[in-house]
Amino acid sequence: MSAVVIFTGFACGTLLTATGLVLWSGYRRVAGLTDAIRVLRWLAGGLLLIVAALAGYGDRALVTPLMCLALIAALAAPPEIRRGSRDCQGSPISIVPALLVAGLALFSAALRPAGFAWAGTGDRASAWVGLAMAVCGGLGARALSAALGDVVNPSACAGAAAPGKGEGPGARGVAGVTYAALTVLMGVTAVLNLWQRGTVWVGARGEGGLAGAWLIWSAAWLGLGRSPRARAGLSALAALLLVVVVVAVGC
Amino acid sequence: MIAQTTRDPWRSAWRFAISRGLLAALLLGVAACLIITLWLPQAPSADPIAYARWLSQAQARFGNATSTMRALGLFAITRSVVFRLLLALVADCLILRLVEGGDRLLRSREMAEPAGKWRALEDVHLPGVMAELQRRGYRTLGDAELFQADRWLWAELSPLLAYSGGLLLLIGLLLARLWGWQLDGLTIQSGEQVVLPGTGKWITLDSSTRRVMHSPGIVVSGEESGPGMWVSAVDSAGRSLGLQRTAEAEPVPQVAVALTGDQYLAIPEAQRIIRLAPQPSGAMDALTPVLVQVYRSPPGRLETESVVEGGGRLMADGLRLEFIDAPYVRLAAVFNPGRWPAIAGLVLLVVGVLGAIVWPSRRFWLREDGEGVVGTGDLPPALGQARGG
Repeated sequence: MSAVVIFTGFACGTLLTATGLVLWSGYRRVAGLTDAIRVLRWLAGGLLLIVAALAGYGDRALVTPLMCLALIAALAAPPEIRRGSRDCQGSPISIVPALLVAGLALFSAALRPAGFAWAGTGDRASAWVGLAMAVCGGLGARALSAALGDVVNPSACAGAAAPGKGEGPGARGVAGVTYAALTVLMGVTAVLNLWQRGTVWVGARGEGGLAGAWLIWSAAWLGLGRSPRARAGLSALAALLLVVVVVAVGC
Repeated sequence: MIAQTTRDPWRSAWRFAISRGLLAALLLGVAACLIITLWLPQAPSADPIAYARWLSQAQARFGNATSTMRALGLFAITRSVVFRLLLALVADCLILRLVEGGDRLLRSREMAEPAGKWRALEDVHLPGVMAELQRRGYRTLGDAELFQADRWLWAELSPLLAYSGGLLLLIGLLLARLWGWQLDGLTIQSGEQVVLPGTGKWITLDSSTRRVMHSPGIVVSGEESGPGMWVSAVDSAGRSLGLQRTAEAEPVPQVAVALTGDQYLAIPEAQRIIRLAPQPSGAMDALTPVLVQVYRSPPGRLETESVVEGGGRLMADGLRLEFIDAPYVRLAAVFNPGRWPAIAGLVLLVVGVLGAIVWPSRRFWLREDGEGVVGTGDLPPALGQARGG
């Protein structure tokens, strides 16, 4: 059994434990439980980051499927960093995206230990775009966690999922950063396509999905409806689409 | 006497047209169309071979429903009337929002009338708050009696940049659709110059530098490359013999062969058939070895064979074949008159969206009210949290 499989297995176990503790904290208030959950989520993120580094080390391709999955899960696993709010752990559902992607990474590590190159390999620019897509997917999974938490419990961590609303780093943070990253990724990819191929669309896999996710997020940013739950729902949909497209195309 | 308020339908229509909700709904419509294309394979429009391949795959996947789905336009969503109508409506909305946003940008230079309900703010010291707001990049207007804080100019300018960027992008797509063209699967060999039919544009593959050169205004991208050669034949007297690629073709003294697969040539005067077969050696590239076989016709008997790499000669009975290395490239050529508007639009769109994220639009008013401070408008959470009843 390779180190990658062991580390991924540990990360999945850690995330499962964190989910269990979040569920348990709903029934009983235990001192220090919030800190324990936070530590476990950071630990899982660290382990998955090691998996991503191990999966990518020495490979000719810039992004391998396992590295892509591990990077997405590593970015999604840690808890939200919110100024002045230590108790906003969200619901157990907010850990689910990281847990699902980490589980996929575990299967990928167990079934395809050697991995194979990114679909669009051969062109260095497309390899960098692949890496940027993986990072966007990770941020998307993180935004999905926040948005799901807001949909389930809008009052607890209000405003996290809707970019452009609120002032604090938490409010603009995860959704704003993901939307900004997706905007830059879409813009750079389209300009590259226009420069190299002469067209905005080149028929690459997932192209329409990424554009769709960006448009849904833009609709959420424009504030369709005044309800925070509706905005969070749209953001969750956009983030889910982004993660699914990145996992399907790149991982 | 009962006062009657008459609703101005034009004002209502204007408000509806510039509403964020309408633009958001249109964007969701475009997004829905694009998401459908993820599950339904879209029919290629330019390449007939790719279209035939797509059609057989679609029929295998969807069976009898294929023709119905095709009639409904589900396999050509981005070329459908509905999709184009949605894009046209998005463009209309962007124009109107640009006009409205420009007007608001100019009006926002000066202090506005406070709007909304005044709320008492606890633990707020007005001079301290104003200093903090200025430190955080807010513009403050007014005097000791009434302050206005907002993020003018960037908060008003960023959405305008995004809208104008989106509009330019759509104009670029429209120009490409109306006057642009795309040619896929062009095969060119080293030293050859191809004039694109009906366009007057040319593409050549330079034989010394192996670089593709083309007339200005078009974008050329490589799809694949591989071995190829110029082939000629002379008899024992040194007389040049004619070569034929097909039965209908006129014999020519030299012929260019792109080795995309096994290729055959005929030399009628010498009653020979030449087979050229690229040998698998990992990736197909210009240096791929080529197996040359010479058959006597009739009776179709193999006379001689040899592996040629990067050009050379092959002798057969009373026949000398000469091969000059001439690798081929398969290209796609695009003429897109909307390229530069689209690039400019994308840059503006990205800058505008990033600006709107960094400087969200926010305007509020603060004033002293007796012993405390009251505020109205889009108050920041920091002030909102300290809000009293």
